[in-house]
Amino acid sequence: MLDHSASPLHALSSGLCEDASGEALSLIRRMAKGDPAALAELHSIWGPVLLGIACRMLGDRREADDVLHRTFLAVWKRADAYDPHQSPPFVWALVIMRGIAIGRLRRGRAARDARHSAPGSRGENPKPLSNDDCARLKSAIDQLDPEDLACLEAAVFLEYAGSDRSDAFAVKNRLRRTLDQLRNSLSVHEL
Amino acid sequence: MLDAGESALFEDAMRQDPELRRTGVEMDRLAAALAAIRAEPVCPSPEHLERLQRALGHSQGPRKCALWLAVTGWSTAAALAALLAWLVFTGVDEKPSAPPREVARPAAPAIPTVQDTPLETRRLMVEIDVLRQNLEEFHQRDRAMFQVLPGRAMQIVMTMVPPGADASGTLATTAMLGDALAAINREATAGPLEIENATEDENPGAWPAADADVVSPAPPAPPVAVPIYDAARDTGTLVVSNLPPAPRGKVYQLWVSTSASTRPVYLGKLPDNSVSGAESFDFSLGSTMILPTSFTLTLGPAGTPAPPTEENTVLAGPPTAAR
Repeated sequence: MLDHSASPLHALSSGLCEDASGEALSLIRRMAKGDPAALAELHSIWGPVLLGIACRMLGDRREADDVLHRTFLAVWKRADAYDPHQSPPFVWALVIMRGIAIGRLRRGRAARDARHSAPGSRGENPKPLSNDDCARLKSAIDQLDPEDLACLEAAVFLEYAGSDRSDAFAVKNRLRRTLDQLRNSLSVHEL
Repeated sequence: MLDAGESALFEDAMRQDPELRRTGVEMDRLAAALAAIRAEPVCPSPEHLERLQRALGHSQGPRKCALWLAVTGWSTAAALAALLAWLVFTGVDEKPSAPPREVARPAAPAIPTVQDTPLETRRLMVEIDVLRQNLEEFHQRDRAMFQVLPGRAMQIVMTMVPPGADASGTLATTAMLGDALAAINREATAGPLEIENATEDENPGAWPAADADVVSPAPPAPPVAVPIYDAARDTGTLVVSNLPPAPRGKVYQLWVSTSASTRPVYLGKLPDNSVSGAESFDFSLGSTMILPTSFTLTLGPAGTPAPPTEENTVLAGPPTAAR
């Protein structure tokens, strides 16, 4: 076998957010056939996590509710076009929501001054991640420098939207370094 | 964050570069996992799901309303019929000569029409929109010049020869693995010693041995490689023969060029203990539906792979026509 460890084509293989049980994929396929119960079930599984992420992205509960509403509408409409080989179900839905949130932020509708978020069950494991993935990721995050972690979170939750881009080069370098460190930490464990 | 123009350029680059697309997918995975871990879950209000269902026409409200109307309609009709019946019975005793009253027929329940159920129309409109999108996607796929269909084997076989080798020669024409192995077998079995030791006594019909003309040993067979790659399953095998061992400190490195990449992409290196002779190595491109246009085998320093150049290229395929 060729030694392809240095090949960029095999650079990242985290395996995170995989739909191991196949439940999400099954619900999406039922939604593609027009099953309303599948939508309700998926809403109960992903709704709290996605709404929490949307609140963090937009900083406003009402805007986050609307973005979540549009996200599930888009998920319903695109259910038949979903390809499980491209990305896991939750990642697919989150990418959709991120696009909608970015559109909101560009139009300046979301006010990021105040943050309104209802207290959630912080200790509960988010369902899109398995317990093993959750533990691996938390362990890898704990090894990051707090400033690096803050920079990475700012990128994930779109907190750089509309900000001054004069330090973009420094931010990119920090992000690249942080991602490399995170990837190395995750690759230590069996993926 | 990228602006709209930069995002469009990035999306276009993602479509053209499978390597970039794969990396982008992995970044999305990591970002999704990080977001799920770091953001506090927030329970949506119960009205959120109802609003969603109403928008998609899945709400139970209109059905309940129609059912209620049907039930009340029939119950009203039944009560009216009972009242009329009672009036008839009481009226027969008092006024026997009175003409019988016409029994009012109960009103037929109102049948919901399309105009009465706008939500049903909205649901149909949503379905039509989804079908239209699917049809557009199918049209786009049909308009493509070449489409790799998942699940179907698409084996790509080509011959890799040393640079500048005669493309019209034997090596260039042996495009199939069987021919390549057969050629290797012939070269391995036909040794030069048999020709040199032939004498007139042993072979009366053979040509007379020339004492002055010493038969020079046959030149070593040039290296050749045949990559066989299945684009539908992303599995490949590289069969190499007559490849001399790599010098100390150097390794053989395999590169691939595809229709989607502007420069060769590094696939991996041959094991250090590779020996001359026919040997096969498995490889993959990391994703299905990638169509390679050429393969290149280079000899470079161990460690950071160096892109193919004229100096470090050992084998390349498919061979170009000799100029």
